Amino acid sequence: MRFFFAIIWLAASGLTVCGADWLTDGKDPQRTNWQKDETILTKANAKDIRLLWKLKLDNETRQMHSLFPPLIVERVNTSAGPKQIAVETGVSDNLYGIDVETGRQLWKRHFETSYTPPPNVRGTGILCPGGITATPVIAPTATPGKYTIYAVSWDGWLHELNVADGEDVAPPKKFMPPNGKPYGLNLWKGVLYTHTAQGCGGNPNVVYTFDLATGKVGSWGPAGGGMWGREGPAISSDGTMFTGTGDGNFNPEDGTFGNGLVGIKQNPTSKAAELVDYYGPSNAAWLWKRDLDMQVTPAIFNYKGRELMVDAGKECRVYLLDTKSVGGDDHRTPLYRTPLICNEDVNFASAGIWGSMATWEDSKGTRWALTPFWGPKHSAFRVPVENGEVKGGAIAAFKVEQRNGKTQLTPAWISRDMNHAEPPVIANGIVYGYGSGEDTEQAYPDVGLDDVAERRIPGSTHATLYALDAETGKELWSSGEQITSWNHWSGLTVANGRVYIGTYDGFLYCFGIQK
Amino acid sequence: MAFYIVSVFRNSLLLISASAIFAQTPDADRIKALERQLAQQQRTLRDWAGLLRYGSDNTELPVVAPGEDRAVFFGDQITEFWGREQNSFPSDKHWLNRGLAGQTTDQMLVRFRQDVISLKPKVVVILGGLNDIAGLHGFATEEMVMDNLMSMTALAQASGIRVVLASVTPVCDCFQKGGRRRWQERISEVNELIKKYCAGSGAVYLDYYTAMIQDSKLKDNNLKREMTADGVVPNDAGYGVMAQLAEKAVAEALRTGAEALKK
Repeated sequence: MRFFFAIIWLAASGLTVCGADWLTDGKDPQRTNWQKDETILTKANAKDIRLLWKLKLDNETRQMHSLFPPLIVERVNTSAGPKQIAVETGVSDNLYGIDVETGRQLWKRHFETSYTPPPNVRGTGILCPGGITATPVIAPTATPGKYTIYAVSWDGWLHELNVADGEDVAPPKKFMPPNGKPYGLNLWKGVLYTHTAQGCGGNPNVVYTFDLATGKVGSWGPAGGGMWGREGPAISSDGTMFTGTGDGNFNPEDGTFGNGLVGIKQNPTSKAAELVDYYGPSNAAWLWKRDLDMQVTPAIFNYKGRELMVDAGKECRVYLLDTKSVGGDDHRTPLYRTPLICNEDVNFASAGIWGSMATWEDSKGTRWALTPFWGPKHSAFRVPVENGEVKGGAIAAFKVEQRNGKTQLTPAWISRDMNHAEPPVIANGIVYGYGSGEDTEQAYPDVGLDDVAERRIPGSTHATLYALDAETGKELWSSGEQITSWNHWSGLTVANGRVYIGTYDGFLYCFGIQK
Repeated sequence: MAFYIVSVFRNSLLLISASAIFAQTPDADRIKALERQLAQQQRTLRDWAGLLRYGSDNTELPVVAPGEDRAVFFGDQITEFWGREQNSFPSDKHWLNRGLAGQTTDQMLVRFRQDVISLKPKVVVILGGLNDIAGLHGFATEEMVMDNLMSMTALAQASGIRVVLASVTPVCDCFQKGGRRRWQERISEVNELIKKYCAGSGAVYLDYYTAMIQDSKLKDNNLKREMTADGVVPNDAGYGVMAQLAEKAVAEALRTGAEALKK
């Protein structure tokens, strides 16, 4: 009889018993951006996607930053019963709990700090906005329906909060120096991983690990390039975190790993963060000279018994690498390197690949790798299926294939034009992508280099969300003019029939199928 | 550079005017053509010296091996298109092609460090001036061409690189009547200046011109018809002649370089 009432209660609450979570940036520790558990949104009903709700949050913007991609827990036990909750992060050290059924705010948590950036260090500006900069990560606890948020505030402290109400479940712990600008947190077997960039607050650019059991912090720096993959590091099956590195010299003999990719692992005994592998593109010197950072979060996946990884950078190539030996014996040889997809003009600010990669496998067993890019398609890049002229950016899809005994990325399709295409999410045969509408120019003919928010904000327009057929890139649906603001350094979340996107003006949009 | 800025500005205005006019009487092809032209000019303005063409490739070159006689062939389309047809550019001799079509010598001078000095060759073969004479980026005098060639030579020699200065190659109106006659006298004049400069600077003079004209007794002469398909760029036969001469010139540069080291 209790079971019967439980079923009735669940049905009344409107919750789906078997749903999909989105507990970390990029969906999973491998940063695949593949929502495998989506069943509600289909290719057949995608044309009926509507705006379900939008919620204005009181988060104060900092520079061009506002909201980060929300994390979704499908079934959280709250004092008001089980709820599906979105945890939204606002750059001004704010976290919000939102009931996704109603689009109402359940709770807000603001991290108070007395931290003040010291003078004469890189502590302000677009690259160092201050506040929380890493999308948190959520983990289930031993108690069913209870989840813990791990978040790093501006002052470098690690907070552990209850998803149900935003209350502390443990005292804050020191994780890193203030204003370190960490990127999307990743959690793997009790260890938090992140990395920092831009030297914000005068801090070095390093990888940080935090051992949840002991509270021990490990760090390792590439000495030559900040690490600014938007979704933070991706983690392989043996617990190695991988990330691209920003501008700097690539000279491993001198301990410098700029414009490359590094693999870092926590030493299980000492808890230190240690370099275990690295890769430098053969033209790393050119990438450094032209400010073409390798600043993209990789995506890791299995393919024919091997664990592979795709990564990219501003130059606008995609690299296919084996996580067991990312650059081969000489650390300079990937499994495959695509030709240039875009960025014919070698533009350091408004072209190339930015953000993160994505990967999924279709029902026929074909493995796909996707990348967003900014700017026009390269005139020499040939793709079997194109969906119109690309001027402002697009999503490019490749099939991972074996030809002549070698594994390669074969171009499959390129999407319609998008105004600064951002990292896509794949769910149930649909690719969700969006053009951010952000003005990314940093240099102007009349004034030269002047990368300030005051110039870029007025030039930014609005984001547009697209649903594309994952096998052809054909547009199934678009949000058109419904989203009225743009976003910077954010992303999409897809879970349980809903697609979420936050904008600069503090709105969280939720699209889905009207019940 | 000023020529390009003016040109880009002019085409921008043309495009705006065309858009306004063709909004009433659509002529999408014309607008698209103007857009393409404008985009090309903007690209040239952004990368005036053509540093993007070989910049990435250069960083992927292997380090010069001990005993390797690396030579860089540096120039415009006459160099870049060497190997476009059946006769390949002889890279087996450790020769690197760093030609860039359409370039004038001022552009070549700007990319000289990236595309020559940084590659650490023993010899550079410089072939430029034809597009300056043709006025491709505005009018240029023979002296302006020489200034740029002399600057490149000085940079190379200061970096321990032996210099081969090639004569400007001849042209003809074999396929297009009347258009190139006015270049021919100026080509000869520039070549005289190059030859004279080589004699006093330690550079090797590589005389493609004499071997490719119809009659060496005439001052303004035609490129042999059998050596070209368009009147400007050599064909396989033309490049074949050039390769033999270049090989001798590179060998001489290497020899004189070695002798200079002994001294």
